[in-house]
Amino acid sequence: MAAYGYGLAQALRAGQTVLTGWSALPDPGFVGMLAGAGFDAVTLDMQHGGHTEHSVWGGVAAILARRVPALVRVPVGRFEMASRALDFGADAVIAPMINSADDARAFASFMKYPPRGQRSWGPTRAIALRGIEGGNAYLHAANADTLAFAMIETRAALDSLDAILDIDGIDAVFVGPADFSIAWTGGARLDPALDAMADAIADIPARAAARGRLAGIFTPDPAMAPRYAAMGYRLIAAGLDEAVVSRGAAAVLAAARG
Amino acid sequence: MSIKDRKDAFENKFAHDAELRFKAEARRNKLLGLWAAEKLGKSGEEADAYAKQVIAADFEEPGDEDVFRKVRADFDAAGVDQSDHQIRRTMEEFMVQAAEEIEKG
Repeated sequence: MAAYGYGLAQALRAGQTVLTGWSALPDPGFVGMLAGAGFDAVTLDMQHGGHTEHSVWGGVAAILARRVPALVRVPVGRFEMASRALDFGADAVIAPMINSADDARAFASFMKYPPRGQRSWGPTRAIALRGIEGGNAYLHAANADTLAFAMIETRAALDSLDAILDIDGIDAVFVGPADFSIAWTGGARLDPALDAMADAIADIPARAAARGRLAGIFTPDPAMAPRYAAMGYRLIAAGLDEAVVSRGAAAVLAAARG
Repeated sequence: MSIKDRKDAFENKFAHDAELRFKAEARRNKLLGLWAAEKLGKSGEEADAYAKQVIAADFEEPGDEDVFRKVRADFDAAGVDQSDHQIRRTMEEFMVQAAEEIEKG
């Protein structure tokens, strides 16, 4: 396979809005279809989706073969998997439930090579998939070209936002509005579009930008994406594969049944 | 070294280091926002809030023109006497200052 560089960091830092498809179904063939369907990137979800180490290993390759960036969301606390996702060739890792500066520091340490972190060497797969010229080329670029997204989805995380943003090695924050709404309402309600938290969500990109960090967000409703983009969110997850299939099927059936 | 020489040196570095450019732009926007806030007679929390608006203005489109337009429009509305050239030069100076601060860690 020909070389494919790390395009995600570059696009986001240049101010582009990147719409990522969201893969829960752990089949490399289906992941490849999603990557070829027009999304700017594809994220493999190990936290709530069905992805495993093995499907991430194959899925990243399937995404990169379509010339779009690959992201991986690891399960809660699985920072060793964050390093492995980068070793498998991912552009970025999203880590859920980063609720304090200590959580952020631990995550960052698995994402960056020394002296900025303690990531262990072994990106053979990434180097092969990306067509990189040797280990030193990867070593010199990896810390800047791969991105660590810390998920902000609780009140504790919001209270510690500035401290989390200040941790070296945290390149970005990623907002999870579903968990945020559960936290916001004290467990009373799941409502990703909850009005009461709208100001807090609108404020996060500017707070991130003031510290030289990027911001991303997940939205179950694709129609929210332009509003999030206007707030300054540059990575927007708006294409859960299961929803893509059911909406697609609904459109096909509606047309077929006339 | 003059500002222009330092700026040229960074332009060269920025071409190879998108992370440095991105972080420097972010810090430049904050410095510019605080500078403009002072010209607009704002201080303390009001100045910080204004700086945040300048940072947010940079989300409108890629490049620096959105930031320039924001400050230009607010200066015009408040009758602040600063030329386009002065604003753009200040943006360049803060960009160099921001990049130097980031490199020093």
